[in-house]
Amino acid sequence: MLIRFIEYIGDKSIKRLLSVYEFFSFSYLCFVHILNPASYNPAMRMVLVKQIYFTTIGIIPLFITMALFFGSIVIGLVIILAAHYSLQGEIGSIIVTFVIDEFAPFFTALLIALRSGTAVNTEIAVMNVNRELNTLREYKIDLIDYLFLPRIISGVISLTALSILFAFIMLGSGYIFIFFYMSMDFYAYATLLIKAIEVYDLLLLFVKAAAFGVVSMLIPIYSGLKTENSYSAIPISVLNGMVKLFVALFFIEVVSLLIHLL
Amino acid sequence: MIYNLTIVENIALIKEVHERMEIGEAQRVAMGYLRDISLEHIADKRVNECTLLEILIAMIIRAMMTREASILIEVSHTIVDSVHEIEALFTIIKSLQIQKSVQFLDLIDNQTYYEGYRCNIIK
Repeated sequence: MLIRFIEYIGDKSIKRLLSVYEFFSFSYLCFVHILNPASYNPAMRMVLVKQIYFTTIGIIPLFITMALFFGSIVIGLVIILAAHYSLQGEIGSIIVTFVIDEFAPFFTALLIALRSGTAVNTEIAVMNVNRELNTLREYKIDLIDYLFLPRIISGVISLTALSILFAFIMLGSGYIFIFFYMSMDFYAYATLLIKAIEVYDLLLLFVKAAAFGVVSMLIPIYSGLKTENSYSAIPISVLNGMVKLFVALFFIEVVSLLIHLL
Repeated sequence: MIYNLTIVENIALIKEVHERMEIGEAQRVAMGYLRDISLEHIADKRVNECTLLEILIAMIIRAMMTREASILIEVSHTIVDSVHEIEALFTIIKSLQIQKSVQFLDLIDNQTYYEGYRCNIIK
């Protein structure tokens, strides 16, 4: 009984480790292809343009609405709390840390993961089941160059661009709250933010957005690629992919928070 | 075939990837072949909007785009609907003036479908 249990644990652990190893090998291959200029053929560039359109431009109306409503309420609460605890002197750095370092990239990553991550996972899984991936392999079309790279690059570009947009909208909403709550004029608010913002904050925003962008596409692609050869396996693949993606997003967020604290 | 591409995009893809031909030029080449066999109306259609024969012809034109010396068509009688379509397919292949050898590989059970047509049946 005990031996069976140990065997079961060992078997599961080996399988899990192998799957992690495979995922990192796949990630490494994608990274190598990104650096190779030969990967950027006309077909790949067209897919990249389409992906940027679908991932970034297509989401803008929903994104701005969400940023205005949700972002305004959250930034308003932060300002009210800061004022309540007599932290008016620190309000600039509180807003910058909260908006630029944490909230904007994370919220954008969640939105992109929900919208584009699921779409990419489903698309690759369907292509796999329909044997479209086999067709591409038969014609010696590199799947990484043609299908995966455009999605990964568009993930990085869209997440970075949308995080910056989100941060701008939240900072704008912050001014409205500050104006009504503390009667501060725009010039004073802008000066407050400029004094509080550091290169580190911008660097953190870019690095986090890029990391979120990579995992938001890489994990769904890998999950779609591993789909078993039946239509009933597609929802399971999307479900597994999304769970792994959310774990990865929270992991990156926790790591960045730890770096920030240290 | 790739389902989220149109027929002309599917055909042009091979030249775009292997010869790094610009998209417009590759699509013009693909369109030229479709025009030769009066099938330009399927150029902007997706796979699910085409008949089985149209899909098979598009697959043959796509195979023409490669640098391989011969085109093998496997179990064609499970792809097309009827014997009449096989005849139409032979006519189209001739009019495409393909510079490669085109061979059909099929099951012995389907031998009767090809009898009477000008083709060699090799067992």
